[in-house]
Amino acid sequence: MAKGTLTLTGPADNIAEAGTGVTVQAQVTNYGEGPFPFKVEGEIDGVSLDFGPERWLESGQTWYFEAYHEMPLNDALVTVRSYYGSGVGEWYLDNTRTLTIYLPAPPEEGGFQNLAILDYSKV
Amino acid sequence: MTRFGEGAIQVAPPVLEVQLGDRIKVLVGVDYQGPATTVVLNVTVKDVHNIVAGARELSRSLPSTPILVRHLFYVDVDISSDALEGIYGIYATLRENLEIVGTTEVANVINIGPTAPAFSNLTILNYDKV
Repeated sequence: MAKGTLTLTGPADNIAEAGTGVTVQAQVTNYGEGPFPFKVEGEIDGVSLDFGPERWLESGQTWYFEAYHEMPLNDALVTVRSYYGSGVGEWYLDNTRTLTIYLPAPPEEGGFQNLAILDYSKV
Repeated sequence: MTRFGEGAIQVAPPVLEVQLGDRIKVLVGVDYQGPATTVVLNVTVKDVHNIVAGARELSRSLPSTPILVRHLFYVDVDISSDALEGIYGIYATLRENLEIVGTTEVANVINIGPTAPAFSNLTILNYDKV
């Protein structure tokens, strides 16, 4: 019987600029019997992520599934699911994890620079 | 429009000749980075003795921005008909939540002169045999 653990990680501090690429990593360890196939599926903001094909994991073996996506214009909810397979086509949900990736917050204190009178004229 | 802003060669700004009761348009720029806020810009025409010939204040909302963004403000200032003739400067003060966050000025650039004599309505009103 296969059984895995799933650890989900995003960018540093879970913060990414809009439009930049973010890598989401799902770490799966088979702590049950092996070898059995494992796969990971998921979404960012409802858009599917591509974690690549299934991997056969020996008992105790760990694999890092990675997906790359562009950070949307808002904070993004990432959901991933790991599955283990029977080896003959059936897949069983093993674990689910979620993660929120945040846009960087604007500074709390505003800054003003270069105040200048640029033009003047008689109306 | 008189133009002497950023990038210009540093020369004495030109003097604008105006008369009592005239209106001048002043363009003020500022860069801002930070959360959404509201600022109040005051533009005053006054002389070196702080005698005010005209002033105008306006309020603007600035959106949140993580990077410096340039904002431009056009401000119309009426030169009071009661002002004294003489040389004045333009002074701008920017406030956020009543706190002054910036000041700038161009001194001695407004020459307020007397209202020029004016003739109008020249009309032949009547004619008759004498």
